[in-house]
Amino acid sequence: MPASSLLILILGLFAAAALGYLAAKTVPLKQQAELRAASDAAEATPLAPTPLVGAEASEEAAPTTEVAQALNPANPGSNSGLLERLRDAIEHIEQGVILCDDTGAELFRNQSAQRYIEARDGLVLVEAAVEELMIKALGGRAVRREVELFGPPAQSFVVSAQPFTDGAGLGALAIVEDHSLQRRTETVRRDFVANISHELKTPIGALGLLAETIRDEPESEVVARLAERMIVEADRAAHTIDDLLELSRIEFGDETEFDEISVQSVVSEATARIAAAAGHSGIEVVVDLSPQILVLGDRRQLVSAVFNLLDNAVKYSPEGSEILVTAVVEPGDSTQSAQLSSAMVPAGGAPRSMVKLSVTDAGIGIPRKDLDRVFERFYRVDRARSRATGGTGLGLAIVRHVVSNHQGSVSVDSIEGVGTTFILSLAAIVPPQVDDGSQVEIDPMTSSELTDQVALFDLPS
Amino acid sequence: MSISTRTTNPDSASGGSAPVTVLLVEDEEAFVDALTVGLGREGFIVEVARDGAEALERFALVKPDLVLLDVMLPNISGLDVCREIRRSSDTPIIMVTAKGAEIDTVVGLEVGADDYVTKPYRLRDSCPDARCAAPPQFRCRH
Repeated sequence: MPASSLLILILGLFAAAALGYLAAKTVPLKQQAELRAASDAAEATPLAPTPLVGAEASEEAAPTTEVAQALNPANPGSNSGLLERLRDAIEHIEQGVILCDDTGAELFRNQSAQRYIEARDGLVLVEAAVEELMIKALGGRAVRREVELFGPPAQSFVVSAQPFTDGAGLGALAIVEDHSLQRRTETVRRDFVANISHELKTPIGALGLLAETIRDEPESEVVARLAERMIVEADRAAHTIDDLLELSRIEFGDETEFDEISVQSVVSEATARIAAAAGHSGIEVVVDLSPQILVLGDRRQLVSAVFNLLDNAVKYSPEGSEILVTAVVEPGDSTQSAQLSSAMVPAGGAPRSMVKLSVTDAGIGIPRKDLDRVFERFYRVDRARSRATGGTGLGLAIVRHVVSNHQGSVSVDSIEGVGTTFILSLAAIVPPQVDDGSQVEIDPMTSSELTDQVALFDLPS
Repeated sequence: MSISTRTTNPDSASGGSAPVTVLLVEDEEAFVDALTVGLGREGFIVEVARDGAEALERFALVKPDLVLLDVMLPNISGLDVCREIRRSSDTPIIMVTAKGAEIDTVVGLEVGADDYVTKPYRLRDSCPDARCAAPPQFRCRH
C-alpha cells in the first residue's frame, strides 16, 4: 500500500521532528500532551527526552526533502510555522494518528483517533489494540492488526504501530485506518459474484441434465417435454446474461449521453417492446401523458428503465388487467428545494421541475417487508414465481441505476392484492406550457454539463 | 405435489428386490423433471418435494430409502432439513450443492449427510451415488 507507506514516512518525519522539537524547547505541543495525559488520569511519566533525539532525527530527516529540512529540529525556532501546519494537517486527516514517547506516554492524538478513547461501544476494542500494539512497537517491532467489529453496523479497522527510530527507544507511532467501507464493498461484490455464479449455473446445469436425460429417452412425448424445458432454460440463461450486460453498461455509465428526450417517445418505445408479452396475457397498457413533457436523459437507458417497470407489471398482473403509465410535471418550489441534496439543485439555485413518471399495475403487490429490498440485484420476493415468469432478478436494479445516472430517484408504493406503483422522478427541462413559438436550441451534452444546463432551461423564456 | 413412479426398468436399481424410493427435494422444475425421468428409468421410484417444509412432510409420509436434498430451498434450508431428518432417522441423505464453500459443512457431517454431489451434476453422478447410498440390500452389483 504505497499511500500508507507515504503516510508513515511523512508521519515518521513529523514524529521525529516533533520529538526533537520538544526536546529542544518547551512548546505548546508538549503542554498539550501533558495536559491530555493528566486529564486521562494516566500515570504518564513526564517527558524525558535526551539530546540523542535531535541528533538521530536530524540525521534521518536532513537529506530527504525540503520539508524534512524545514523540520530539522536542530533549528526548530525558524520552522515552527511549518511544523504547526503539518500538525494541523495530520490533525485533520482521515486516519487516526497516535504518537507516544519512549515511556508510552501519549504525545499526540489527532481528531480522528479521539473517537476511540471516547468510545463506549465496540470501538473500545480499537483503542485496546492501539495500546497493545504501541507497547510492541516500543519494543522495536512494527506490528499490524485487523480489528473486526461485528456491529451492527459491522466495522473493520486496521491498526498498525511502529517504532519511528532505529530501535533507540524514542517512541512509537500508531495509525488506525477505517476499512469498513472497503470491506462492505468487497462483501457486496463477493455476494454478487456468488449470485451470478448461481444464477448462471442453475440453467446451465439444468440444460446438461435435460440433454442427458433426453439422450436415452425412448418415449417421444417425454423427449418433447424435456426439449421444451431446455428451450426455457436456454432462454433464461440468455436473458440473465443480457440483463447483466445491460446492468454493467448502465452501472459504469460511461456511455451515458444526455439529450432532450420526449417522455412520450420513451414510453412508446418501451410499450412497443412489452406489447407481445402484454398481449399474451390480455393485459392492456394505457398511456396517459402529454407529448410536451421533456426530460434531459439518455434515451436508451430511460427506455430500458420504463421497459423493466412494464415487464414487472405484466409479470405480476392478472390476465385481462390494465397497466397505467402517466407522467406529470411537478414544478419545483422553494420548500421542496430545501430538502434536495446539493447534487439535485442546479447551479443557479433555482429548484428544478421534476417529471413524475409512474407505472401502476393491478397485480399481486409487494409485501411491506420487501419494499426496500426489491431494488437489490437478484433479490426476489418470491423465487418460485420469479422463475415461473422468467425473471432475472435484475430488472429493478437496472431501473435504480438508470435513475441514479440521471440524478433522479425511484420510489415504490404497493398494497398486497391491490397493486403496485413505481414512480420515476427525473429532471424536467421545459416548462409545461410553452406556446409562444420560441424554441430552445440544445446540443447533446455530457453528464458533466448536466447541472448547468438544467439551470439554463429553468430560466423563463 | 408429487410426481412419481416411472418404473420402466424396475430391476436395475433394486437388483430384483423391491424398488428403491428416492425423495427428491428440489425447487427447480427442470431438475425435477429431468431427474424424475432419469432416475425413474433407472428403476427408482421418485417422490418429489419442492421446499423444506414439504420435504419433512413427505419424508414422514413416504419413508424413502434415500433422500436427494438440495441445499438451497425456499422456507427451510436443505441443511436444516437434513439435521431435522437426522434427529429421528438414519436414512441415507445425499446433499446437492451448488457452492464449493458449503461442501465442508455438508461432508463435515455437521448436518449428518452421507454424501454430496455438486451442481451442475449429471445422471451418471446422481444415479451411482443414489445406489451406493441406498441400503445394502438395494445396492447394484458393480
